[in-house]
Formats: sequence, C-alpha cells, structure tokens
Amino acid sequence: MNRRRFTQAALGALAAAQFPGLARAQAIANLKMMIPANPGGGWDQTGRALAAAMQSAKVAGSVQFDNKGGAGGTLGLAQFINTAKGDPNALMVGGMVMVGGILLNKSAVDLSMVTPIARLTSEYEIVVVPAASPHKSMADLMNAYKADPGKVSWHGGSAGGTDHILAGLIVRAAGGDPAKVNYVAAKGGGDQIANIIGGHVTAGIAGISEFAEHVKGGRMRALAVSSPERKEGIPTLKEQGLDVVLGNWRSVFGGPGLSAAQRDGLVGTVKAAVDSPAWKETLAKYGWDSAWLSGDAFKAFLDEDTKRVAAILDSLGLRK
Amino acid sequence: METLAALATGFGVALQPANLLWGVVGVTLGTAIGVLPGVGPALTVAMLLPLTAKLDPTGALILFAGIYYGAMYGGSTTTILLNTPGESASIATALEGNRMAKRGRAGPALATAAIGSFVAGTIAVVLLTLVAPVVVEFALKFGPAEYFALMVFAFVTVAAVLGASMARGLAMLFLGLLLGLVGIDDQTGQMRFAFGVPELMDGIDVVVLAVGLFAVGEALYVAAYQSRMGETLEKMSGSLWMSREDWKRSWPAWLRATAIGFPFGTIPAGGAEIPTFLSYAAEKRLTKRPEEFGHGAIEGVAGPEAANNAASTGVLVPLLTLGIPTSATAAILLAAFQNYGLQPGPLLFQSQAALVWGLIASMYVGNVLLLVLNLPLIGLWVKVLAIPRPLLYAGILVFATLGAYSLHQSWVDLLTLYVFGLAGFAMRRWGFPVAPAVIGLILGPLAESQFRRAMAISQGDPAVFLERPIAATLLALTVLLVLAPWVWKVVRERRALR
Amino acid sequence: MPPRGPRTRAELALSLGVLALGLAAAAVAFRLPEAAGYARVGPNFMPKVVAGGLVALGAWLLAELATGGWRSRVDDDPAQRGEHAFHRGAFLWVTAGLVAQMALIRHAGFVLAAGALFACVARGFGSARPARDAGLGLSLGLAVYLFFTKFLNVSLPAGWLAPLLGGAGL
Repeated sequence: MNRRRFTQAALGALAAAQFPGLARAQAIANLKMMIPANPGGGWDQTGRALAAAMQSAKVAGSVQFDNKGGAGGTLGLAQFINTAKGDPNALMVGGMVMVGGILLNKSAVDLSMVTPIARLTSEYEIVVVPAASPHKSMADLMNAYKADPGKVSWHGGSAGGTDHILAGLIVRAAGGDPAKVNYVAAKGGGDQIANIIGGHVTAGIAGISEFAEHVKGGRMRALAVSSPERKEGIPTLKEQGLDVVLGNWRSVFGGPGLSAAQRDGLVGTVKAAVDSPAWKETLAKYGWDSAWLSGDAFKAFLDEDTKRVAAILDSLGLRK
Repeated sequence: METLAALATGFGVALQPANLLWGVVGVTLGTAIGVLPGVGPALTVAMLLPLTAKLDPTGALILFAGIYYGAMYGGSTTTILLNTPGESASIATALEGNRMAKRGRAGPALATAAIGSFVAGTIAVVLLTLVAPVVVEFALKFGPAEYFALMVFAFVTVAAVLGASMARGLAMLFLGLLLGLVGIDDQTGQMRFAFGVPELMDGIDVVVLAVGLFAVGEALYVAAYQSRMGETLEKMSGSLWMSREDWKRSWPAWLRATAIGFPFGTIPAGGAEIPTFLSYAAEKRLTKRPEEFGHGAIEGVAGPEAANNAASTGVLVPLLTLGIPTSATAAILLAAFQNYGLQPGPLLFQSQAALVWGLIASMYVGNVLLLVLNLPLIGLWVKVLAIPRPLLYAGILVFATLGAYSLHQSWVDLLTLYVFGLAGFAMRRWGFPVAPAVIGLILGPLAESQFRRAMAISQGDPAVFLERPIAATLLALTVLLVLAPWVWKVVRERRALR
Repeated sequence: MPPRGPRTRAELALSLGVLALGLAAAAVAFRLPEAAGYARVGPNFMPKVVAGGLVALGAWLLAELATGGWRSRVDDDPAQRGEHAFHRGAFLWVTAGLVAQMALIRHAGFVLAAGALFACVARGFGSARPARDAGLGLSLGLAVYLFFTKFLNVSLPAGWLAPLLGGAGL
C-alpha cells in the first residue's frame, strides 16, 4: 500500500512537471474514471469523451478507465463507493438510467452515497407511429388511448426505463391511468425499429437520434418530442397540451465523503473540460444537448428527479 | 445488369491498394480477437471507432467489416482446438469440432470450418447483392407472434441434440430454461431467481454457461479421470488436410447451412445462434453416419460454421437497406456510418453508391483474404494441441476465466463459471448431454418474451398465433415435423404388410 | 432387482437433485407476482412451467431408476470406457487454482491471479515443475493484460503490480 502511494505521488510529481497547467489545485494528474457500463454504450462514450476533453483542456494528465457494467449501473456504483472514498481524483459517469436502475433493483447502494458534480448532457425522447398509422398527432393517439387503452401498444426499451417512464408521464398528463399503459418492452434497438416499421405495434418511444433517420426516410411518423423546444421541426409534447419534459440526462459524480473544497475543485475541472472545443465537437458528433448543471443545483435536480421517477414507477405498478 | 455494373465499380474501389490494405488489417485483427475469448468484434470495432475521425469512410468500413468477418473465423479456431467458445454463435461448432480435435482430426475440422465459412460467406454476399431489398420487406412481416412460432419450430427441431437418453436430455433442456429465467424480466422489470446478487440481475451469459460446461467441466473431468493416463488422446493421426470423403460430406452441409443461416440473419431478431443449432440438428438428422455424431462428425462442424457466417452476412441486409442494426456489431457499424453523417437505407445505395458497393465488394475480397490467411495457419494451429497437457489445460482455463471475468469485472462471474464447471463435470460423468442446457438458455428467454409481447399486443388472445399467416405456417410445419416420422413409419408398416 | 453400487447411488442422488431443483424453483415461482397485465401471462408463468417440468423429469428419472436403472441408448459408464477411478488430488488442484484466482484477481491483480491459476492447474495435471509453470502463467497473464489494457483500452485489475504496469490506455 505504502509503496503504491509513493509511486503514485512520484508519478503525480512527474506529470505536474510535464503539464505546467497542472500545478493548480484542481488539476488531476492521474484521473480515475469509473464507467458503470460495458464499453461502447452511451455512458462509455460520455466518460471517454469527457476524459479526452479534460486532457485537451490540460486539466487532467493520465486517465485510467474502469468499465464495470451490469444491473443498471449499480454494480459499478457499488464498487465506486468502495474504492473512491474521499478520493478527489476519481470520477464516475451516471445518469437517469441509474436512478431508475437503483429504484427497480432495490439496490443497496444509491446516488446519495456519492458526491454529485455536474449534469453534462441530455438526450430527449421522440414518440413515433408507423408510417401507415391513422394517428397524425398526439391528440389522435390519446383519443385512441381513451377509447381503449389496451389497444394502444407502446413499444420502447426495457420495462421501467426512460421510454417506459415517458409513456407513463404522457398518459398521466392526458388524465389517464399510467397503470393501464399496454407497454411492450423491446430488447435491442434494431428489434424495436423493425416492430414499429413493420406495424406490429401502435406507437414507439426512443431517444431522438435512434429514430430520426427513419422519420426522415418516411417509414415512421414523428408525433412529438419530449424536449422543451422543438427538435428538427417536430412539435413538443407541451405544445400539444401534454405537460411533459423528459430528457435522458448523463452526469458525473465524485467519490463519497469529499470536502466542499474538493467538490468545488472537481466542478471547476469538469467545467474547464466542458468549455473546451473538444467537448463541443463531441456534442455535435453524438447529437447530445448540453445540459450543464453543477454542484448544489445539480444535487437539487437529482433529488427532484429521483422523486419524480419513483412516483411514476409506482404508478406504473413497477415498484412493490 | 445495373447491379453488376455497380458491383464492378465496387470492386474497383475495394481493390484499390489502400482499401485492400485496410481489408488485410481488418481480417488479421479480427482473427486475432476472435481467438481471444472475452473480446468480441463489437467491442473491438467500438474501440476503433475514433479512427473514423482520421480515415475515409470506405477504408474505415472495409476495416470494420474485415474485423467482423475475421472474428467469426478466429472464434471457430479456439472453439475447435480448446473447447472454449468465445461467442454464442460458436457453441454449436464446439459439439463436434472439439471431438474431432480430440481424435486427432483438428486439421480437417479447421479446414472445413474455414472453407465452409468462405463458401457460405461468399454465397451470402451474392444473395445480399441480389435480393436484399426483396428479402427485407419479407423480414419486416416478422412480429412477436411470428418470432414465437419460429422459436417453437426451433425448439422442436433441435430436439435432435437431446442425446442418448430422453429423460436426461429434457432435464438438461429445462435446466437451461431455468437458468434463462435468472435476472430482470424484460417485460415487467420483475427480478427473478437473482436472490439479490447484482451480478445475476442481467441474467446468465450464455458464453459463461457454455465455457463452464465445456471447458471447465472438461478440465475437471480430465484431471480427475485421465490426467495420469499419459498422452493417448490427442496425437495427430491422419492428414492435416481434408480427405475426399471429408469434402463429400462437407459440401452439402455448407450449402444447407447457408440456406438456413442467411434468411435467419436477415430477420431483425433472428441472430446467429439459432441457425447454427438448426444446422447442427439438420445435419444430425440427415447424416448417413449417425454413429459418428458425438464423436467428431465433420458435418457437425461444416454446418454450424457455414450457418454462422451466412447469418452474419444476412445481418447486413436490414442494416444496409433499412438502417436497422440486428446484432451488437451491426449497431456499432451503424454508429460508424453515422460518424460520417451517412445513414444506411435505400437512399444510401443511390447517394453513396461507391461506398456501399465498395463495402459489398470488399466482403467478397475479405472472404478470399480470410481463406488465404487461415488455411496456411492450420498447420500452425494444430501444433497448439502438441503442447503438454498440463500446460494446455492451464492455458485453456486462463482464457476461459478471462472471458467470464470481463463481463462485469467481478469474481462472482468466476464463481458462476466454476459452478457450471462442476455441473459440466457431473454431466460428463453421468451421461447428461451438455448442448440442451445451452439451447434452453439461448432459446428460452427469446421464446418467453416474444410470447408475452404477442399476447400483450393481442390483449391476451392466443388466437393471434393462428390468425397471422406466417406464424400459422410455421406452427403447422412444426406439427408436421413431429408427426412426419411417425406417419412415415405407419405407412411403411402398412406397405410391408401388403 | 437393480444392481446396487456407487453408480446407482449417484443416479439416485442426481434424480433427487433434479426433483429438488424443480421444487425449489416452484417455491420461488409461486412467490413471484402475477402482474400479467394485458398479456394475461405474467412473469410467474414461465417459471411455473419450468419448475413443473423439472419436477416431472425428476420423477421420470426416479421411475427409471426404480425399474432397472436409467435408460440409455449408448453405454456411457466411464469405468467401462477404461477410465480410472476418481483422482481426488488432481480434482482438488484444479479447484484450488480456480478459487485462488477468484480470491486474488481484484487485489493482487489479473497477472498474478492468472499465474496462480496456471501453476495450480498444471500441478493438477501432473506437472512437477511449479516454478516453470508459474513463470509461464505469469507471462501469459502479462501478455493478455497488455493486449487488453494497452491495445483494446479495456481495463483489467493491475493489483499489486500496478506500479510496474502503469496506467491503462494508449
């Protein structure tokens, strides 16, 4: 243990010598980045892109990634809580999916045990119907729902996920009972797209980027987006009388038990990365919306969103 | 004609020296990662995605497609030699392939796998060139009801691998089904059989089960019963190359497997595992030497390997024509397209004809490259089996555990692997067949969720399976398949009486 | 009268094992919620079917045992295949290797764990050169470690060797 600490200190000094900008307190010579998902997915992209942006902004030296996927990110969260206690050089990627995962899996660890640093991005959702569907607007779809809730099948990702939550919120906003939503969960994106294009389900929900090209190609018709503003000319849920805004947000967390100064240091470090041109390029490349919110404001949002997700999961009958 | 002209242009693109080089790099890298368990093509391509910032689209996509194909080839090598299937689509190959290697016929097993993959891959690319737009419209007709009917058909067909004893085969099938239930139920989020262990919440990975039952189980078994017997089992005997007899038995298997694999790959939830097992079952039923099955029948390697490659090419049909990714690797390939601002779909064939046809042509080229790369390597690969047994099995277990550990980076998966190893040991000792457990784990969850999806859409009316023509046809075929042997027998007995 | 012996005893144990597994699965299945919704088939349906199947198959195997032993179309008794009696030491060495790896991998790191596994398994298969085996195992582990972390950018635990191996990534 001692030897390891010594080596780390030595390497740290070395890195500080190499990166003059690192002399300031909030710069991290050896960043440890926990990604609670397997390589390739959204969290992995976020973590690796953020680390690259931190390096390009000269606020991080070397980065060590730790991918630990599984159980909605709670496996990685548990390990992060164990290994990053009081460590101001460690960050973990997380997001709304983890909030749902913790609630659904009755996880022993939760996000109150780590230190919220910042919300980074948000990906908004889209509601579509097959091109041949008779429904031209959310009003048509909700009328069909009111006539016979069971006949309207909503096709999205796994039960209790962002897509399912959006279906519940829409139905509740229309004055219906979320428990009556006939939700059909898909496993992979391809399977889901095929079921919608093939007309096997009434409506489909996913992140905008997953369906955008199929809408442009004319095989799906977009009814609404869940963002506060229109996206690609598609009307929002709000302007169609359904008071719902929902984004699949992604964020970074610090280890448990950080001091206020350590937390503010990390916020500053991440902010420097987010302001870099490298990060702006990343946002454009993946089609993410910036959703910067840091420190206490992010913590308040997190508490609020956890409550909202918990309430809707309850009314969907998913949490017992 | 138009297609042929476009393809000719495509070859012009694929055969440019730079693109040819990317193809070579891709298939070589693919073969290397296919050999290693724990890294699949999806992961490798995902890790190489940043290259898209530096390479032109044609070169990058040719590189990625090469990795995709190469990994299939590499996977069969470790499966045959070491009994450690690194991917679910290689599991069926392990059944006969490793038996052949044990009997000193690793050379012909690797050769029939490589040539079979080449033949199937090439035919599948030809089909992709000619019929993609037609096939994909048919594939879209598959909804949950059709998939469930297809699963039922698959279950009944693969009953052929249940092994010597009906009771023990079925017991293993149900064990696999039980393992398939572990984890979060995808339709309701209900946790089942996970007992609060986070590593179990995503379900049991079929590769851990297969590697546990096959490789760890065998290591324990051989250590306990055969480790003091000296080297008697793995001496090379016979030719390194396929005999005339081997060729005669492989050809029809390759072709049948292509016919099974390609259509399966094109349907959006088909995947590559089911056609490999269907091909295995078909070969076992049709063979003139049923006694060889279970002891290294070459058809049992030729079929599944060809089916695997045909299905992997089939996967590109919905990807290129509609932009629908139907496998993990296809999803990453789609991401690569999108990094260039390209969206696969019917328009892509017009707007980016050079790229698409270049990619398709590079697959023809890639298949040739793989054959050229792999055939001379066979002589080298079989030398692996000459490694003294203590070191060989120690190495096998290092790779087997690596694959399991890389799932969640957790020792719990190593424990799971060991428990399956113990089960595999007991199954070997007491004559329980291993394959049905794996099939149960693969097919069970698919069948269950498609059944419940179909029932949800029909609001609980089971008539949906009979009202939809494709589903009804598949179910009728299944009934025929069950009744046919019995009817055949009765008819023959009647004739004999006359 | 069926023949008595270790084989029948094991068959009895395995038949009862299948039966017990089915009963245990049933116990879990009946506690799962119905939650069928529109499908009228909930998350507890398939578990019940599988549990029922296992119970039935356990009973089937027991019935075969009671009426002259398990049916088999090919003979698969290892004793008749000319195999030795159970070699406990070898079995335990392989097990020890796998357990050592589970214990070591997180803290001591992948390379050391692979070395321990390799050496134990080789010992179990009768190798008498533990030093050479450990060396081979460590080299193999190191090669795999470097390929994963440096080339593929996938992390494996470095553990005690972290100072020597350096950080992950290109």
